[in-house]
Amino acid sequence: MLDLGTDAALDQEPIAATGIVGQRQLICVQTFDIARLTSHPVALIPGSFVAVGGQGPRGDSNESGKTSFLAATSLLLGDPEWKMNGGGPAATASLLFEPETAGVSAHTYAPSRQGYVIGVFADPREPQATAMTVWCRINATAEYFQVRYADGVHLVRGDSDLERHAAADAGWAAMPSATQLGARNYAERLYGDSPRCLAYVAERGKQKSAPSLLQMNAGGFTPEQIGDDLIRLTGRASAFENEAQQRQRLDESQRTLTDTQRSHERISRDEDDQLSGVHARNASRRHLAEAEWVWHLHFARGLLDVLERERDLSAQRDEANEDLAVHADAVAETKREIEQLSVPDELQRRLDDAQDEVDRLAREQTIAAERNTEARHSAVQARERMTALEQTADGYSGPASNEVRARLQGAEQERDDARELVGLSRGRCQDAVQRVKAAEAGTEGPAGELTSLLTAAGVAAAPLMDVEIGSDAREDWEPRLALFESAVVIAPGAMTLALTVAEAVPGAVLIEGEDGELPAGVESAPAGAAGFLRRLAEQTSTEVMPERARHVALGVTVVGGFIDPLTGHAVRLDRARAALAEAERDVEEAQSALRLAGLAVEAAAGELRRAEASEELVGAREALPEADREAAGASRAVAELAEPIRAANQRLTDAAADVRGYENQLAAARERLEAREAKHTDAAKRAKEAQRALDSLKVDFWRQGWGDSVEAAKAALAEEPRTEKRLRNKAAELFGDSLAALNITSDGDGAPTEELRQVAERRSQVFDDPEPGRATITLAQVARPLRDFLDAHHDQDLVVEERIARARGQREEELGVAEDECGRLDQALQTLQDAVEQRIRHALIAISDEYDRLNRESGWFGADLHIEARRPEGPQDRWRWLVTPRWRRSDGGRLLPYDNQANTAQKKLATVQLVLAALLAAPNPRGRVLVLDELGDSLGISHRREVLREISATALAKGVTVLGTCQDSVLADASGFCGEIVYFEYPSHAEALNRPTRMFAFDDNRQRVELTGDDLRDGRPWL
Amino acid sequence: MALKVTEEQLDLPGVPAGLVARPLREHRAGPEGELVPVKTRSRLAKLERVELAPAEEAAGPAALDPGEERWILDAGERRWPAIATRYGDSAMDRAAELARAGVVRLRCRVDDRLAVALPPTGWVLSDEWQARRVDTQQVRDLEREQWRQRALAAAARVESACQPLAEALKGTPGGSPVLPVLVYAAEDLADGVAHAGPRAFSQAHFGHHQGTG
Repeated sequence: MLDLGTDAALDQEPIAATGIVGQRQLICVQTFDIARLTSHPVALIPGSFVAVGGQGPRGDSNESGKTSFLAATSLLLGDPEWKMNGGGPAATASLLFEPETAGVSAHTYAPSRQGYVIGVFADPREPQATAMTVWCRINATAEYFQVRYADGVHLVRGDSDLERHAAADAGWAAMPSATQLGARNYAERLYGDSPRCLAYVAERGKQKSAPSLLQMNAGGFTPEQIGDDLIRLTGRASAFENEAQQRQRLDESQRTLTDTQRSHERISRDEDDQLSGVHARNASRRHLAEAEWVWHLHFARGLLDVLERERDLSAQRDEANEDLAVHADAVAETKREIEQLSVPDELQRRLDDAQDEVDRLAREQTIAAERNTEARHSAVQARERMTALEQTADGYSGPASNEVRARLQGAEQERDDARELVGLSRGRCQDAVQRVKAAEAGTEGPAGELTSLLTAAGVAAAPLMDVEIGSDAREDWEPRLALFESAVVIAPGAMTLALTVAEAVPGAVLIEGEDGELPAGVESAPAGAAGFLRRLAEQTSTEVMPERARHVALGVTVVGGFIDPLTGHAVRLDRARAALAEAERDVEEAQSALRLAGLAVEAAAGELRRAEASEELVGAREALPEADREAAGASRAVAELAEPIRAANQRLTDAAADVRGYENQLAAARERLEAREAKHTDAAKRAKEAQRALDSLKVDFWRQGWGDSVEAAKAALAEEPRTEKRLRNKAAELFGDSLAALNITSDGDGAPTEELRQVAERRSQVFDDPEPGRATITLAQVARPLRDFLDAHHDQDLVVEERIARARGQREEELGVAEDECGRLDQALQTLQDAVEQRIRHALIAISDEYDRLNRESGWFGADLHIEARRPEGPQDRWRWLVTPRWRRSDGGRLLPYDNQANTAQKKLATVQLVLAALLAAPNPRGRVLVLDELGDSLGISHRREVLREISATALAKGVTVLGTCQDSVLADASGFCGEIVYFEYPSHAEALNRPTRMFAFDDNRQRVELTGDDLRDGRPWL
Repeated sequence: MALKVTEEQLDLPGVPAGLVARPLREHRAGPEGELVPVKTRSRLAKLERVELAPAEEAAGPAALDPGEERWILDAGERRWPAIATRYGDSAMDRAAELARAGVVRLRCRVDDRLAVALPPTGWVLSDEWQARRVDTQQVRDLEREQWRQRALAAAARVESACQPLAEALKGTPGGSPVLPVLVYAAEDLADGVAHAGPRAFSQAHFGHHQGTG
């Protein structure tokens, strides 16, 4: 197992990695009906930078056909960007000559239906021996693309383009059809699993190129795409396939394992169900067997018990019979004693007489005692009354009670009058309070009430008497207004509504409001009162002596001279408050008078009570001695009865004692009789019970149940302490367990058969305490259906247990195998994934190192690839490699990612360096072809030369052929670095085809030159 | 560093039918002499070499002629050039047959595509055949020693009669095919046995063979 050495063979590269073409290099390309290209073979110097230039009809290199040549070459070399596994095959037809695309008349030139791209490959070490030719046939219709190959050089010869075209189909036919490959597999079969060609061209036929390593501008090419491209360049992409297959196998294995586990669980559940039935029956069997044994023991215990009991009962019965005889004699003797005892008549008569005398004296004593009590009570009451009267009279010596009573009646009359006056005063006071409230609210008097009514109905109104009169005008205006104390001024325009309201107020005085100036003497007036006041002033005259106002038109004169002001709200309020104060004073005075009257009544009443008590006291004092005498007499009568009663009681006691003595003797005799009779009865009962117990022992039953000798029963029970009942209960419990194991309840529910249900129902018949007269049933009889049921399943249960155990073991084994397989695959997958990551990372690091080297050689400051690997998780996932090219923009600066801001030339140079680094680090670089379109774009002279230098150096170092298209301005620079210039020429739109492609080169490999020399000279007579 | 095969089984492209690949990993001696796997800086398991052997049990006994068996048992491991030299164009097929038969385990490298690179770099004897090789070696050593002892005894017997023969008996290595011839000759000389010629001598001592067998 150990190997301390190394393997020299490690350096060998497997053939499959580079396909059938192997490490041969492309040395010549011939095309037929590809765009405007002629069929002249184009020789390439492999392992060098080949500058591809040309001249079009406008004098520059545009339209010269170089891009078509490069696209055809990339197709020949299996450029993956042709996407031959997708829509690529059909797109190849766009390479065919098409007159309108070529800029010539479609009437003159027919479009090509098929064309060829032919490549000759050779190993530089032995070109002649290793030469092989690959033919790609492109069709305008399906099948679009076919490939054949053969050893040797198989280019189409001919002096003219026409001749060669004519021979092309024959040339294809001459290629061995057995080697024919299709679009999907030709690249891998010919060139292995890493791309032979990397073409960075703007378009392939009519197919526009997607962003690529050389066109990563603006982050359009993601780190993941960069990673994919670089990995493809390393030729290690196929490592993913093995890993993916392993993942798929693991997934399938895990699914198989899961299915197996689920199946196992499902089957196990079914088996558990079966086993639960088997286990239940096994448990039932155990319980039943134990129950039967315990049941058997209970017979043994029962037999021994009844034998012992039989002995005891026999002894008890004999003893009871002896007691019975003894107690019968005692009873007879006692009965005789009782018959001899009799009550004497004299004793009874004396007792009755004594009792009658006692009763009579007792009645007399009761009557005397009652009289004594009443007399003493009367005397006490007389004394108490006299004391109370003395206290009330309190030495009274005033007038007689009649006189005092008359005075009291006068005082009470005065008090009632005062009380009535208080009530009247309070009434007036309440009226005054109401008037004050009305004055405060402006609703006093008829005018106020009417105003209130109108206002509530929404009519603006005010009492006329709210008018304020100047103090010096009172004598004129008060007589004028006196007649209108109840009048109410209605706001202008509201009279109609006011009348509607006032309809319910007979006598209401309404003044229709009219605004205007107030007459002299009036300081203020309710709204609308001005008109009325002016007219009133006009229509009345005032005179004095006495002061008066005369309504001229009416001939009415009103006398004035009012002490207090008549008008104005404040005046009326003051007047009402003054009236209230006066009323309150009246109330206080009336209440004071009432208190005085009350005191006078009380004094008169007190004097009357004293007078009356004084008069009553005289009679009381005279009656008290008589009451005392009566009490003393009654007391003496009671005392006189005490001795006769005592004597009568003594006689009664004596007679009763004599009677009790006789009765005690009789009772004692009867008690003795009862006791002896009880003992006799008890003895008889005991004898009977003993006999009955003996009769019920059923010794034969136990003997038959046990079925063996008494000695055997003793032996069986040697270690068994339980009683017969406990054994029977235990047997019942075990029998119940036996049924319960089968999920049969005590009432038979859950029983699988009717017989077993009946077993449960009959169970109690076996184990209940046996009733007298009932036929005893045995456990075996009751349990027979259960026993039959269990026996019937016995063999089957054994088979089921054994079968399930065997099946489970087998499944566990299968499961173990499946788990081992999963574990093995999982471990293998981990190993493969580690290996994949290690290889890919190693390859990318190699590119990173080359990238850094190229960058620094260009005078820059270093570059690298930031690598991040994300492993797939599921069977359908893919590896994700996020590769971010980074380079420093300044010395000591930070490494900035490719999509960071940078000038175009820097980016172009950096991307070219990345591609070159990938080629430098790639395995088997020799034979690879790198196609770079528009190589010098966006670059200044310095950067351009740098790029050209690096490309040339890489081509030489690794044997890579770099085909780089160069604009005219670049071609001159390229000539200093390249190993060959291939020049395409399309002089005029009048021509359908290019001129023969020209080549400028020197190849020091003579054999290689000679290999295709003749073919190159065909149609090129100047060579 | 030492290479040790692990128990993992990998399904890699290129493995001949009937065989599985098990990784060979570098191990180093641990503190107590035990072998411990060498971890990479990235902590990723390396997969550079594998051994090809039957998945579980060998397909069956290999049909070996004595010469081939002896050649196989002569070395515990062999490099592919030696194997290719012996078997020529059929080396790969024969090596796979021997591996399927459980005689050897083929050692191969794993390429960058995670495929097994063929032809192998060599083989090592299986554990069973390694044990057989040890046994065979011990028998051979024992035989050599026996011949050496017998030669010394014969040399003592003929030392006075034929000194050169005695010197040859002492100086010839135990494993040399010449030594039995010398021993028989010396013993015949000492015992006074004479043969009619070399053929009779050969017939008498080697039967149909002419060597130690």
